Amino acid sequence: MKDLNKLIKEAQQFELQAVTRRHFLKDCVAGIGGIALGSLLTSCNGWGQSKSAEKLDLNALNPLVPKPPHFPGKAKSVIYLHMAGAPSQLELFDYKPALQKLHNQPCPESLLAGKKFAFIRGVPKMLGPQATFKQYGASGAWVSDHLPHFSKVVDEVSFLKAVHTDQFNHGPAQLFMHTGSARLGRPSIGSWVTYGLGSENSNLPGFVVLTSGGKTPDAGKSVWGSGFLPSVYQGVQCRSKGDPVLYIADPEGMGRDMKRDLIDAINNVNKTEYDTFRDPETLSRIAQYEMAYKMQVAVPEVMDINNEPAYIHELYGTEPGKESFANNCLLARKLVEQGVRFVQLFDWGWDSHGTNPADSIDLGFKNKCREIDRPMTALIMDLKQRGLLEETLVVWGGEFGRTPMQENRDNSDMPFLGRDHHTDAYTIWMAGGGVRNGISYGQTDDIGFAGVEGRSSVHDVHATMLHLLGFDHEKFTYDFQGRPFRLTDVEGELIQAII
Amino acid sequence: MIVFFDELLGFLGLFHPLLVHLPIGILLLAFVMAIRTRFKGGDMYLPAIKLSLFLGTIAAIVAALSGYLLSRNGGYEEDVLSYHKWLGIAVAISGLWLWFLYRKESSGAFRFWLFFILVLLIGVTGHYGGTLTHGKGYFVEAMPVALKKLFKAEEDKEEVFIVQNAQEAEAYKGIIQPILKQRCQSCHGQRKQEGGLALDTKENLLKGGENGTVLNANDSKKSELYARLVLPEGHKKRMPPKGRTPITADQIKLIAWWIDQGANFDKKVHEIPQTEEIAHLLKKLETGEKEESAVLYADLPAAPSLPKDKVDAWQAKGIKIIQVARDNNFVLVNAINYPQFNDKDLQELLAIKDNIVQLKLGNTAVTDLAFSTLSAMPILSRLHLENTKISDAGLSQLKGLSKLTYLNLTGTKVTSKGLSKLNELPSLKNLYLYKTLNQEVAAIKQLNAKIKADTGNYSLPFIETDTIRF
Repeated sequence: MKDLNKLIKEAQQFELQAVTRRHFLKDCVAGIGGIALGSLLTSCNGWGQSKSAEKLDLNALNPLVPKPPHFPGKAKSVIYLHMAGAPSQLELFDYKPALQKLHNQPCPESLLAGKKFAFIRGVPKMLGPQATFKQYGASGAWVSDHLPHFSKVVDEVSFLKAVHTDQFNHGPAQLFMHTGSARLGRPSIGSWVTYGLGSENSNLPGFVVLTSGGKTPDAGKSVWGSGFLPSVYQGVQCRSKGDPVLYIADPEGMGRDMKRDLIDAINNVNKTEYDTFRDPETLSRIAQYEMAYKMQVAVPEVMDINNEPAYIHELYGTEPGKESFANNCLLARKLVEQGVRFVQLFDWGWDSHGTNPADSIDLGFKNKCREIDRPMTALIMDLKQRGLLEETLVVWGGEFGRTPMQENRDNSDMPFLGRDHHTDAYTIWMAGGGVRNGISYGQTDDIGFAGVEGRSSVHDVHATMLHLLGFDHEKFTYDFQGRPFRLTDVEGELIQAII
Repeated sequence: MIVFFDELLGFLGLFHPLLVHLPIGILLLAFVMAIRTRFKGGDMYLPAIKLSLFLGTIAAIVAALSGYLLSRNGGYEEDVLSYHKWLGIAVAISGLWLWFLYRKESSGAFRFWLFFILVLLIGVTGHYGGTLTHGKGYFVEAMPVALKKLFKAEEDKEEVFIVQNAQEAEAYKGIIQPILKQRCQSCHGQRKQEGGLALDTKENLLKGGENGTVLNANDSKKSELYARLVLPEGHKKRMPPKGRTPITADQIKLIAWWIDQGANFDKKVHEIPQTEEIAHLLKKLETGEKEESAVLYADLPAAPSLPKDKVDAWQAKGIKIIQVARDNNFVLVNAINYPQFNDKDLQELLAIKDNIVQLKLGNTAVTDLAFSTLSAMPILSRLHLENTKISDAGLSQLKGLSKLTYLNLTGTKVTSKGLSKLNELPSLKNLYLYKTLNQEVAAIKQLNAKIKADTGNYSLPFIETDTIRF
């Protein structure tokens, strides 16, 4: 206690010393000069501060006001379909007949040397593709029989067949895929995009997140977090059951007018706070109150799929009131139609290790494919017929790929067929938003272990997405802790083949 | 010593842009005085005119000399240079002549009209001087859009080169050289060698420029010839530089392909390995199919700046005026938060008609009366009219929209009658007709082949596996 008092005294002393008479006089000179200059400047052109003090100009303060990118973007919005758990590329798009021939043979040592896997230990056996493949469309894209509907729209899609990552656990890999860094603390791509472009509809959030599959992604809400960007840019998670956003309805006895008065009062207090401290988080708060007020009307309307005609429900395979990927796909279309900038879907349940039927390649995986096949195909078709696909970038992928070897968890035989996490090669596809049609870029080796040609890193994917939206990823920065930060850090090259 | 003088003369030449302003100013001043003398009479100004003419002529001669020195430094387009040079000399000579006339006090109309011609000469000389520095067409380029239309004829002459049989053509002579000719040689060619680089012959290509070679066979990324083309938008080393017609994405890819496959000057196209994509691009050369430019709206004339007060007023109403990019004034107008948007609101938008490239008017209250306003928006490229009350009656008025590529008529009352009018839209590529009254195939067939009409109504028939669960 005595020491503490001493410290406090010392601090007081220091503070007193810091402002001496000389300092005071010096500060005054600079200060008075500044005041004089300020009045000089403002008196010349008449637009000084006089206006700002009067009324709260929400339009100018709103951090979600639409903003121009570096150059005209071909995509105006993004729908990102993330298959959380990482689907097997070898059963969907990456056709490897040679792997079939090696089925059940022990994996050659050369592939395992220096590699680390999440669960594979010792020498696993190779696992041939558990699907039959055919080429579809004018582009001749390979698609497995697990996606019979999707095979009809392959000409709208471009595949990246040799994407690679450096994270083999779900959490870090998902973070990497969405924030460009495997560590916590960076803004997600949806936040970056909303920060860069704002929102075209001021009644809806710019960045909406929808989840299905029973769980949220392993990396938690950080995959749609805003990191060091003002928190107004983080994803707004909407529920598919009950109220889309918690507490969106007014409590009993609270009318719209009363709500408006309440929010005006709070915003005015916050505005004063902002004028004093200039903390951007205060602006976020004002914007969020304002948005919440508007959202009370707009969100339930856009999130209600009951009013959609029967043939649309048939097309997507939607069942109102249920939490499903299909419902989320339909919602994604509705949101984009209403000018929402970034819609992030997560569908959980793709981690096909083979420990139980639900996560086995031969059983549960096929069910998951059924769950997404119709809705994601419907999404592309529906966007297209409404003239929205041209300006909406649809991205599909997981956080990494799966091994060409069968998983042998802790060097034991597994009850079901499964594949381990794999970082060296996986498939992502993109459609619309200025992406070329029907391109298949990148190639893996004969067994689909690693990319041999046209490899794309996660940063490359981000750079390309930002490019389509009109951003030069090298110039799209936010200053934090003394340096400008980028989504792509110091890497990333445009994947020219698909743009 | 000779080298020193040579360099010194070159250095003095650099003062030309400064010196030219002296004769312009002095001679114009003299002309103003001459006008006054002619119309108001009296000879009060005569001594001043004489002195001004004398000084102006001396200045003109100095300017012409310095100009000559500057021209020796090279890098200018020859025909423009020679016009500029002879006009400049003409200015000096007529100045001298006038000075003599005024000195002899020969009165009358002749000397006044000669003076008038002198001033005209100064103007024209100045224009060619500007052309030398800023490049051809700079003047029209910078004009307000309204004026520009008067000079319209000069624009849009972009030649498309067509290759009869791309696979049989020589890769360098038939494919690469024409691209370089079209995109690069106005600055890096026979007449002008910016940075000491010419790209007109094999020898010059291999020689490179001031900073060394530009071609690194087998490695496009290390070849300036390619690397400069893919620098980020706005980078000061990006080629072609800002303001010049940009090179297309396809052409960039072809150049990269040629370099990566060894930058061979003799082989035919089919002798060089090609990916599917390259083969496709080569095929496109045969039809001359015009591709979209790599940067959206790059082919449009620059838009004037936006009237801030008006834009603010619209924004306050809920009409979103969104700039499409930071480095231009093109805007997208979105009425999504202002569904009561009507024909009158649209008329008000005419104030920024030279800025609007995209109009999102879906689900608003616009009617057929909107079309006469729409037709006055010269650079409108994407138009959304889905779920509005528009009908056939209006569509015929759209034909003036020469830049319109996208038209969304989803959920409107248009029929085959109105659709036929859309054939008059030269740029229209994507037409959306989902949920229109008319989805019969016949109506679509009467459309031009280049218009992709999407009538939607897609379905995914039920298949057995849809419900199988494992």
